[in-house]
Formats: sequence, C-alpha cells, structure tokens
Amino acid sequence: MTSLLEGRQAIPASRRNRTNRRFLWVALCVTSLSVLALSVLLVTVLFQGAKHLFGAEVAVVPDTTHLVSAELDERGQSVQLVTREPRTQHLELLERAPEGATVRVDGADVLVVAPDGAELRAGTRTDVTSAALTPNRHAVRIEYSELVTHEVGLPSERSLDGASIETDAQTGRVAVRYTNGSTQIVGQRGGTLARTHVVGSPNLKAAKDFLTTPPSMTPTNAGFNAPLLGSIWILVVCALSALPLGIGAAIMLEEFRPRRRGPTHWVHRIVQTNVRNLAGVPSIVYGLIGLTVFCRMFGLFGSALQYAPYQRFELTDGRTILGQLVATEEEVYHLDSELLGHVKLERSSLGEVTQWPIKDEPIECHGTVELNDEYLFVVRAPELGEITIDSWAIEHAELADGGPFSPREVDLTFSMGGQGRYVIETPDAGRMYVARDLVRDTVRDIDTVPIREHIYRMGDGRVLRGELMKLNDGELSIRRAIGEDVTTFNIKDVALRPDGKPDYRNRTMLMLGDEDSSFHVHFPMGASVLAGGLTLMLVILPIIIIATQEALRAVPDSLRSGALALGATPWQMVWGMTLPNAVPGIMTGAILAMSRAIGEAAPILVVGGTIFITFLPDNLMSGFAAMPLQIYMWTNQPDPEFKKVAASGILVLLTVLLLFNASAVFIRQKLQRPLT
Amino acid sequence: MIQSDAAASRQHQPVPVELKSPVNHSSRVANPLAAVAQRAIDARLSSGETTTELKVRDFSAWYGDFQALHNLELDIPKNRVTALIGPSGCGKSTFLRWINRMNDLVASARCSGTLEAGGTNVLDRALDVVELRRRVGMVFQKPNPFPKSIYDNVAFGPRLHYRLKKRELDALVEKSLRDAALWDEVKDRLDKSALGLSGGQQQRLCIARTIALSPEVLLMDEPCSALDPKATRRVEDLIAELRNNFTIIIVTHNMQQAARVSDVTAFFFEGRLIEIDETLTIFTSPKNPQTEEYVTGRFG
Repeated sequence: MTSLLEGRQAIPASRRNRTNRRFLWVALCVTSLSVLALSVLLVTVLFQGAKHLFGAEVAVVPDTTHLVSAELDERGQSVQLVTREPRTQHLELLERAPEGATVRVDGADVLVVAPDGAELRAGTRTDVTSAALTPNRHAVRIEYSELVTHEVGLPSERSLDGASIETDAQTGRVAVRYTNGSTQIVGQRGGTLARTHVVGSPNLKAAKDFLTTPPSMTPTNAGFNAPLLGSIWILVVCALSALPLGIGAAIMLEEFRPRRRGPTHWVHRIVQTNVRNLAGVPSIVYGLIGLTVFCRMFGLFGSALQYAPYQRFELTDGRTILGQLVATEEEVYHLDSELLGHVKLERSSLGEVTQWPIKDEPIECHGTVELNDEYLFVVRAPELGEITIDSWAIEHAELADGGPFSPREVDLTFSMGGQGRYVIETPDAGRMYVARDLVRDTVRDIDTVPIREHIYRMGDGRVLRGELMKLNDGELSIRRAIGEDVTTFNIKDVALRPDGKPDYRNRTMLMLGDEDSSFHVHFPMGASVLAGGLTLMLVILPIIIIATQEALRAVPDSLRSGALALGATPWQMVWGMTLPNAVPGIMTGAILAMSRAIGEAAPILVVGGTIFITFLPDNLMSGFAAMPLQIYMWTNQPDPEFKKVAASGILVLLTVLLLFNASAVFIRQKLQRPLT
Repeated sequence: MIQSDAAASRQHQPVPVELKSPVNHSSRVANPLAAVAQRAIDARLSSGETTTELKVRDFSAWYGDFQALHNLELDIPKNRVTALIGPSGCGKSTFLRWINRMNDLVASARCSGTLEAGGTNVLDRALDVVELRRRVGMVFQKPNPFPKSIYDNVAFGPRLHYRLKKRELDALVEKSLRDAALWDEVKDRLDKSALGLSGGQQQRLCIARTIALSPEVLLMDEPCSALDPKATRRVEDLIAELRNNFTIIIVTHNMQQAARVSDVTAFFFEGRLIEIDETLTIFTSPKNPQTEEYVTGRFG
C-alpha cells in the first residue's frame, strides 16, 4: 500500500517555526510597549505623589559635568548652578571656500582666509575653542562653549540659614547641606532623577498628615481623610451586602438550577444570560438605578431631609422663619431651622408658606458684578448678599459685549445649574458658570458670605446675611451681616423658641433606629453612605455572581454525587461540600470585585457622593466623599500644585488596591487545595 | 433476533433465586468458578431462608426518547451479592442509579413500573430521597473521597442524619473503618487529607463512608474499574466480608469478578434482562444462548 502522501513535499519545519517566532516577536514588542507605558505612568504618579505624600520631590537635577559655579540664593530659596556647556555649530558659507583656505578666529569673528590672503567672515561667536573647514569646504565647523544657568528651587519650608553648598569633584555632585546635617542633591554629573527634597528618610509625618487631614482648597493643606474614610464606609456596606446576596444568587443559579424544562427553566436561562450582560453594563447606569431605588426610593417615603425644600414660613404676626418642614401634627408644624434648630409652630399662627427660591428656582435680582483688585469676582445683590468667587473657580464666563471686564450694575439671575454648578446670568454681562462646591469653599476661605442657608429674616422684617457663629443663652451672633450692623442680639427678637430634639413621628420620611446611633436608617436614604454602598453593590453584584458560579462549577460533580448518595439534602450538599471547596475562587472573585468598586467614580457621583466635605462620615446616613471622586476633582484643578496632591491620592488608592489584591492572593494560596 | 429477545423478556417471569444463609468463604480459590461452586454448595448445605430485598416489576426507564430499560422483572435477594453484567450501554448502571434515585439528577431521565426496596416503592414521588439514600448507599466507579480529612469523610454521612456526640462519632468512624478493612492503615492519620490515600484505599474509604450509615442496600457501580489488580483484590475481599450484613448490588464489566464475588448474577443486554440466576448456573449452564455467548467471551 502506498501512502497518500507519497511524493508530497512537506511544509519545511523552518517555515512553520518562522510563523511561530513571528508571533513571539510581536508579542514581545507589544509586551515591552505596555510595560514601558505602565512604568512611565507609575513613575510619574510616584514622583508626583511622593512630593505631597512624603514631602519629597523627585525631579531631574541638572548635569554638572561642566560646572562653573554653584551659589545659594537665599532670597529666591534656590541654588544657582552655572555650567559651561560645550556646543558645536556649522557656519554655512555662501560659496565654497577655495582650496587651501584656512580658518582664523579673531575675537568673536570667525574668518575664512583664502590662500591669496582674502578674508571672508563666516560668522560671529564668542568662546570658540576650535574652528575648521568641513571637508567639502561649504561650511566652517566651530566648537564653542556656552554659559547656562540652572535654577534649582528648594523647599520653602526648609530654612537656608547656615546652609552651605557642597561640591564633590569626583562625582560632580552638588548638594545643599542644611544646618541639621541633612543634605539635598541639586546637581549631578550626567544629570539624573533624584529626590531633591530628601531629609534622611521619607517624611512619614507628611504622609500621616495627608491621611488624617480633610481636603482643602489650598494644595499644601489638602488632606485625604474624608475620601479615604468615605471609601472605607461605602466599601464595607458594599461588601456586607454584595457578598451574601451574590453568593446566594450564584448558589441558586448554579446548584438549584431547574433540571426539567418548563417555566422555571426559562426564567433561569433569562436570569443567567442577564447576569452576564449586567456585568458589562456601564457603571453610570447603576448610578442612576441607585439614585432612583436607594436615594429616592421611588418617592415612596417622601423626601429625604436633604431634599426637603427650604421654605419661608411667614407668620401672621409678620415674622418670617426659614427652614424645612420635617413633620406635621394636628395643630402643630415642626420645622428645622438652620438658625433656630427645631421649632414648633402653631397652625393658627402660620400665614403664608413659600418655598425659598434659592434651592430650586432662579432668583431674579438687581446687583453689581465686579472684578476686584485681588482678582476676586464679586457679585452683590440684596437678595443674594455678597458672593465672592476666585476668578479661577469660574469655569466659563461669556461677556455679552466681549470687552474688558469692568464693574457694572446688572440685572442678574442666580440659579442652580445642572452638573453641580451655579449659573449667574446677566442680560448685559453674559453668563457665568461656577462650580457649586468651589463657590462654597472659596467663599469660606476668603471669609465672605456663604451663599446658602445663611440668609435670615428677622421677626421685625429685617434681613440678615451671614455666618452663624454662636447660638447660646438666648444670644445669637451672626458674622458679616450686610446692610445691618447688628451682630449679636437676643434670640427672642428673632423667632420662636427652640424646642429640643426634633420629633420625627409624623415625618413623611420613615426612620428606623435611634437617630443618635451609628446604624440608624431613614427611608429614602438620600445621598448617604448606605445608598452609596448599595449602589456599588449593584455594580459588583454581577461580577461576584459570575465568579462564584465559576468557582462552584470548578467543584467536581463527583463530590456532589458522593454527598447526595449519602443522603445529603441539596442545601447540606452546598453548605458542607460545594461551598467550602469553592471559597478560594469566591474570595478571589469577590476581592477583585471590591477592587473595581473602590475605583468607581461615576455611580458615586450620581448618587450624590460629595466632592468636597471636611467632615467624616460617622453613621450610615452620613454624606460621604470617595477617593476616586476626590482625585478626579483635584486633577481638574487649574493650580498645578494639585496635580501632586492628586498623584498622592492615586498612590493611596493604589496602595489600598494592592492590599486588596494581596489579600486575594494570600487567601487563594492559603485555602486552595486539590479537590480530587 | 432482537425481536424474539424482546418477546422473550416480555414473557419473562421473575426467577425465584433460592439461596440459603450466607457462609463465610474466607479462603480464596484460584479458579473463580470453583469458588462459585464452593459457595453454592455452602449455601445449599446451610439452612435458613432468603428474603427478597428488591422487587422489580415491569420497570422501564428512558433518557428523553431513548428507552434504556425495557420491562425489567426481577427480585434481588437480601444479604447476598448480586452482580449485574452485560456489555456497555446495556442499562445495568441506569438500573443501579434508579435504585437510590440518583437518576433524579439527570434532567431527561424518567421511568415507569415498580421498584420496591424493603417494601417501600422507591419510585414514589412522595418518597423522601434523602431518607432513601440513607437506606440505599452507593459507591461510585471512580473513588470520590471528599477533600477533607479521613475522619471527616467517614463522619460526613452520620453528621447529615444524626446529632452525635464526639465520642459516639469516634466509635462509629472506627467501626466503619474497621468494617471496611481500612482501620489499620489509616488509624494514625485520621486527620490527614483523604486525597493522600492510594486509589484502592480511597475506594475502601468510600465504602466505609457509605456503610457508616448502616444502609440496607449497597450499590456499587464498577467499584474496581479504576483500581489496579492488587487494590481490586482488597475491595473484592471486602465485598465478601460485607455480604453478611448488606444486600450488595454490584455492576461489573469483569465477568471473573462477577464470578468471584457474587451469589446471583443478572445478565443485561440492550436494555433487557436476559437471565438472572445463581452465579454458578449463569457461568456453567445458562439457559439463554446469549448469556452463554457472553460469559464464554464469544461476544461483548
């Protein structure tokens, strides 16, 4: 029998191997590129972040190979390094130099001398060390040196008193020696990346400060405690809700799947397919679901306190109270007033109630807009008080006439724009968008009038604007009242008596637990830690379900048969056999899911994560900030210093992430064992 | 030919298998048939009644549209070893898996007829399979020890069904392991993983795990097919010892094994029970020519 392959030429092994090698080469290139990109990213973040986090700055220090002098400039808080850098240059000639021509340097002039003695100026250059015609005689190649001054900034917090410059001839290293003996490299031969702000070991106090102080609008003061703690709170809520729910769902889908065809079988298929699809849904969609389901709860329980409108309660005796209606009884209204705390109002004494417009409706007013000497943008109107905004906080301003900005008197509309912005609209001066959070902070920082919730109408009809300073012993202090120089007055003049703690019994909002406890809950949840955590739960639930299903599927069926054959109920089989053996897989999946949750910004933003808060969450109903939001907000700041702050934040986030992943690896190593 | 077989099996009446009380045949005889003959003689000599453990009437089983078993009629005697033999796909494993309703796990499996174990209808929908499986234990083809300690493997079943004190459980584990002839090999490493045992030890552990619940019936689905000859011999010895206390039904491809360990042999072919009789009869003077062809190795 002859082979069918008789006489056929085999494809040379070398050719087949070539394809193999080609693939490996491409793979190698792609991998190197990715590694390169990743290292650049990491190095950038590390160097940027280290400055803020450890008080150390990593930068390129100048090359000192040709150092001429190094001087300390105490006034400029810097070191001036002067180097003489060798340079070469080709001076092109208009026409080719005759054969036998030479080059002569006369002072700053470079001259070409022909054999017949004629001289032609090729160019001028000082400090020329050598000059010669190029072989083709079309140009003169000169070598010269140039003095270059490098200014290396020193950290402003270090005192330069008694500091000195040290140069090491051997390494070319130039360093500043401070009086406490620590040194800082400011120049090196060849130039290199070096920490220019190193004080012995990394400054752990700076890192501690960063982790324990609240965010601030001043980059040097900006801390990370509120976002860090906020993230931890929502992650704990997220883990505690997502794990039992996800693992339970996976057990239901995997171990209790309907075996026979029928309606349950179809439901199972639909759920199964959609769990997989849900894992790919953009997280912002979950944010919207979370907003509807958790924050607002379909409006079933009324509005959350945060959403209760501010209302103006005009009393029959002419007095006015600004506050939120929190509960109503037969004949009594309960109000929460920023100024007075809890207030009981008799229905008969209540006149007109109007909604305070600053919350939802635009305020039409007439006022002035000006840009002052400090580049602070000032809006003044009787209805608003005085709003001062750093000009850099203004995201966008259109001037109707396009001319330079000058103080002007305008009609303006003040309203809440979308996307967390105020819109100040002036018919003749154009429209201005201002980030709401920035305004609040800016206002606070520069010690002017906060624009919300601090406008008080007095019983006698007077309007006071200012920051509430003190409320005790029947005396009330308001700082910076405008149009009214009274700063302290008797509370009896202002409004009704404060009356202890709020009574929530008849509140539209549903309240579970004592309000003072850390774990009380109110429905709807509003922009609370609980709502944020539950929304993140939605994001990671499909991931956890899928990971758990995979882990359960990896448990061999022989173990299930073995358990069932011994008379185990399906639940006993799951609890005693499949689940324990799936734990490593489940934990790995769960922790990777948590790693995703920790980096999610979009859903948190939608459910009302705050970009700027200075208080720490201390119960399930607290407002919160989150690390990714804070980082996003910092990277958006125009001040370049914030880039470093953001990088520090990223470092903290990455560290937490690494810890998570490390624990996943640890658990897998610890618990994983062969199953057959 | 198949047609006539089908007709034959429809008319097939349960063969009364009359055996006397079991006798210990501790010594192994080199020739398996000689062993069977010896056992049959022992049985005839000894006195006592045999009772039927499993009564099967008009039992058919399907996987989807495929009928795997056709109108089985047979009785399986109590405290005897019954071997089910036949070529692959003849339905013997399917039958075995219906006895403790493991086929409930197969979506497409269904059946008709009656299958009574100790007087209760196994196929009753209202029957609690959890309770059934405690009474009808099963050992699988491939040893499937749980990834737990040896102790926990044996204690797994009892813990499912009873609340036992530690001392009671210890005693039960020891007794089960002794009964499975494994105690001496593992008594020093009860807390070690069962996965560290050899294949034969693992299979005996699975048997110990099953008999810890004192089931009435022990189903074995080719328990030695994944084992080497030495381990096979240990398991066969174990089966010989267990036959005093349990009704054992063993599926095997190995006819010598059937001859060595069983009292009664049933020959299945293409979903039908061709013949069931005392093992000696099946192997020496079968009534059906197909059985003869199969046991003499002319086909299958």
